[in-house]
Amino acid sequence: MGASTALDLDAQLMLRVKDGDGASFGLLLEKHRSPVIHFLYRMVQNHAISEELAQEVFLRVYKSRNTYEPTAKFTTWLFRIATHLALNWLRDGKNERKQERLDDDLDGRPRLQVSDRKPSVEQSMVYKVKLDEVRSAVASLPEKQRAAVLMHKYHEMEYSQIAKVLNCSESAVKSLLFRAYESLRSSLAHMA
Amino acid sequence: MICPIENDDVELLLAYCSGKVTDPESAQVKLHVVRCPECASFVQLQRAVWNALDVWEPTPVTSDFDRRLYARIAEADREPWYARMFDFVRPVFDQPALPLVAATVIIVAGFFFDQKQVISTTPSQPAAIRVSVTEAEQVERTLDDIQMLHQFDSDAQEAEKPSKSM
Repeated sequence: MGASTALDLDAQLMLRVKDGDGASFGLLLEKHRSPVIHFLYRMVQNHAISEELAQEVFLRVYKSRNTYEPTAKFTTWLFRIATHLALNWLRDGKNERKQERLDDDLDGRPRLQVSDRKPSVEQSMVYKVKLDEVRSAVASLPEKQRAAVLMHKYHEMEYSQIAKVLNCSESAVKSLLFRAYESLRSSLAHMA
Repeated sequence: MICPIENDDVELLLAYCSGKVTDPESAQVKLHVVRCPECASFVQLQRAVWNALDVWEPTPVTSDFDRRLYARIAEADREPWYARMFDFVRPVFDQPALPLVAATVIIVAGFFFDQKQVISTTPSQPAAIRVSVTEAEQVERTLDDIQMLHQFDSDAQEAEKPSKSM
């Protein structure tokens, strides 16, 4: 029993993909598509780029199927690939993309659902201002702090898992999160 | 309860604000926050951050995401074997430190190559010394020879003198 039961379901699915089961890859894609794209979207703040990077993530997962070994949680491995690609993309040309990122796809985002009724113009404007502030505050964080906050806040990952994704110690993650939230408290204090 | 800020345990307050503490811990922090203005201020600001981040909803995934991905997978499956081989080594090339490592290897290799050249040229120095030593011996021998010839010459002259006088 031991080792195989200790494996998480995703790792078991991935082992089936390794054995040539394409349907298991479909299940993994179905389960992790949105979290990966949403993480990448918040990292790079560009919808088209986030989907492009997510495609690369899943393509790498598929291509690595033959060498896959369930040494860590599947999501840790998946987010490690995603983070690596996002950080590379940001480092490759962040100066050129900085402006584009913040102006990107504001019309394509989901609107705030205050009630069942359509939000008023005023509500939409307030929401837009708030959202822009949040996006700017997150974008101004150093890349690793940003990744740590996004994994902690939106994906509810433990410090140990974030540490594995970012390839650093748990105490380093605590320090990253402390500094990141400190910056956010300072930049978003007026929203209290 | 010891004040988390004074105790350098802000992590507990962060966990409390994100609802990641156990019920007894939560009750303890809640009680402390009521009495500690510093922690109360921290919790208020952190909760504001937490709520502000909730505003940021992600955009929906485009409907043809899977179709595009499977098209790329099919394309990848058609790749020749050498292109697939590159996928195994790609993670190595993706490392941000790789250019630094490569540069270090080149510099170290260059240094060793240079050292090797120095080593290969160093034997010429004893050879040069040897040459100069040999040259000195030759000069000494030549001087000896000259001195000897000079001696012969003087002996010959001495021998000729009586015959001329006769």
